[in-house]
Amino acid sequence: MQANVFEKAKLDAAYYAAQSFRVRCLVDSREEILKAGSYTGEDLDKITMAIFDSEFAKFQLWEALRAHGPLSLDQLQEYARDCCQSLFDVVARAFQMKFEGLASVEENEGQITQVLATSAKPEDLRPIYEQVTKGVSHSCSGCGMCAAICPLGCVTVEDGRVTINEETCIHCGLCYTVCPRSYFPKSVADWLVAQGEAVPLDVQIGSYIDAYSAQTTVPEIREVGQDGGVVTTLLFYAFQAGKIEAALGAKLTEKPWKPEPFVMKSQEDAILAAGTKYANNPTLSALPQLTSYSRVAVVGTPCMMQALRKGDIYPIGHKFWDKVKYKIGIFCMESFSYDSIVKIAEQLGTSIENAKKMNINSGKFFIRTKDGEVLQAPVKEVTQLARNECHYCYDLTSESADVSVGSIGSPEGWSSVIVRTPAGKDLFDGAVEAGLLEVQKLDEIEPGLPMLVKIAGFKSGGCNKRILEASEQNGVVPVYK
Amino acid sequence: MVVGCKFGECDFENGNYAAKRHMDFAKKILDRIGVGAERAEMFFCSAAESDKLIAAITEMARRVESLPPNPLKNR
Repeated sequence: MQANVFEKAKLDAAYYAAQSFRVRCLVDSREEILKAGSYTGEDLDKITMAIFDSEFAKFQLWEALRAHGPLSLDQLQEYARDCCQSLFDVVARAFQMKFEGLASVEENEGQITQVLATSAKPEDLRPIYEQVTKGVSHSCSGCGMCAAICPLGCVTVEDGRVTINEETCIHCGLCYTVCPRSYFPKSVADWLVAQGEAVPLDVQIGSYIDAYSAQTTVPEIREVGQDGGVVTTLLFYAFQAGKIEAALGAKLTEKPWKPEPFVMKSQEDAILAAGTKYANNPTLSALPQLTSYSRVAVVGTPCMMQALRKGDIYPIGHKFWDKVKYKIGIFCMESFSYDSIVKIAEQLGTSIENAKKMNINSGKFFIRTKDGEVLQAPVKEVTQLARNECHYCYDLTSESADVSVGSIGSPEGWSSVIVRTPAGKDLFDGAVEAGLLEVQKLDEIEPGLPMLVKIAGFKSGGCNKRILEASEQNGVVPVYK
Repeated sequence: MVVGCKFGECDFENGNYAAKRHMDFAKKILDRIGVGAERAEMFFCSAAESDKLIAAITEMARRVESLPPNPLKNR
């Protein structure tokens, strides 16, 4: 590339990035944002510049595409080297431009063949970044990330429903930017999780290093844990080994089976948070509470892991992102509104107050009552009450997590564990070495991996179908490509 | 170089606040793209403070003289 072409392109890119309304909104509303108190001036500078940087890098790539025509993967690599960026970042921007309509990305068997600019102009982009309540609410996962990021604190997520205070909203589009249901570049996320290693294409459970079946050896956890008590044990170990100072998860409130976000600060807290809560809970909305710690773990459902991973791909500059050292994902077929949980208990012939433990296993929904009675119903009857919004999710096994845990594939009293990243491996291996987990390989037991892959296929298949149906009716659907 | 009224003394009420915000941001951008924030500055003085204005202009002139050519200029 000639030097002068490059410099002109750089200035143009800076111009477009500075014009980007997502950047301008934060600059123009600075006083209102600081008054709202969620961010300090320094936080806001960091966020504004992080978005500027990402817009700048994006428009630089766009300028290069317009100047040189389509770029192949090799040329992208060369471009990345010239701009001192990683190929990963360049590809992530390419996918962002694809979503915004600025470029198209052609792929063949999961490999990018070329990226080319479309005829769209940067000034056409504004309508894309809307409030999450418009366009995303029917597919809202209730993860709570929008509430965590909102600079005005005007987004509330409660029981899987998101509401925005129109009076204070400045339409900055940050909620939409971080939402895992607006767009989520699955292949880029898989790449990040796999750390550049080859991603198995036909497997429904994402990329991983190893898969196990595990069970806790800690007696207190065995009493309260859901299946193998693995998540609680991992947190228990992380606190013990000083790997984390706090962890974010969910715990039940005084209202029976109503969960709330919970910041754990000790091993005792981790045990308090044990056990699956089936009612939807906006765990991530409590992320801002973690900023005073330097190392934290987050336990959550696949949608929450997607939201966190999306922030790794497209940095927003919020300080809580750097603190999340471990993303512990749980398997999730769907979740329920609180009302549905109450109804399920009634359907099974008891009341929500009387339920001591709930579980889904071997195609049945179980409730153990406080009198020790075990009630059950086929899962199919129960899932009719599940949240419709959850059918827009393809991910059963928390493919974006560092380590994923769930009952599917393991015998009763055990949990399947999918170790995906070096961070996840470090945590899991550490807990095993400390003697806190009993382990066997998932491919050496029944029903094992085939069962997991099959059920994950049901979920992603259902999601594809739902997205297809909705887009045929011209509905707005999450973009996962 | 941008010159505005002192805060609270502007006829346009908050125009100078907005200008300051934009200048702060513009300086950050200039730094990011390698042009350098010292090439832009905002000063504040009232209509009666000619000495301040002269000092500001002198300061900018001094800066311009000491600056190397625009690093992004076509070569």
